[in-house]
Amino acid sequence: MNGNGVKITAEVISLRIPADPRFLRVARMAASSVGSLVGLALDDLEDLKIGVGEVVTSLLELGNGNELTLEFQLVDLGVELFAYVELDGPSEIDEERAALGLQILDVVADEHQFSLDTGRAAIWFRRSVDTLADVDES
Amino acid sequence: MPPDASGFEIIASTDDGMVRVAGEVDAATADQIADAVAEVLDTRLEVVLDLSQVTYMDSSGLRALILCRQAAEGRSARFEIGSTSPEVARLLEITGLAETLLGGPSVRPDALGEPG
Repeated sequence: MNGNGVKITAEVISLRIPADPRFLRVARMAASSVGSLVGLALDDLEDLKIGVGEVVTSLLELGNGNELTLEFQLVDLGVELFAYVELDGPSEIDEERAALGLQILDVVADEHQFSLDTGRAAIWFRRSVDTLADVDES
Repeated sequence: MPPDASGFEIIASTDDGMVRVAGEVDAATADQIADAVAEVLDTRLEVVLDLSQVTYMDSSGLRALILCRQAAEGRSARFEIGSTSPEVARLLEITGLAETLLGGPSVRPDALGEPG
């Protein structure tokens, strides 16, 4: 574990953040750092940051004050995020914000998936190099 | 309010009805926009939001913009987003809010003016 509390094991970077919106920025900065490890271009990094921000914002609302866990997985030409929070109480979801967040995720993610099981809400998200843009530029 | 570590800063002027926002707008900071706009609407029937220096915005920020517009409509006031950064403009396009929020004044021009 490095001095910032970020644990790097093989190709997974785990991060636990308190249930406080002030730490959204930490999650985005971590996403940007992880994305740079796999060579994402600036536009891809920006989309990754935006996507991670939306994921964490939704889980913060669902988590009712519980700590969030983020696991970044380095994959070929991209980054996957599996983020989750334990559920043990009522959640206050701003449905209009959540709908906007989903629209944004649809654009900035290659794929994303939300799961709500007993006791846990989780979101999986993948962002890869924008291969179409690379083809256009060549 | 002075800038924080994220560069977030908001300056509201009741003199000209301008609310200038800079830095990163997310769930930690978005409410401050709605508060600043409400403060201006307490003394004016016109508020213009300058988002040209916003470097990041998420759905919480967009939600705040919607609430600002609704607050203005509730007071028959004019709410306008004067300028946006490329980051904000892209989000408005993605979510289809560009027309709603940038489409012009929320009330008739003859409703403008300061409260009597």
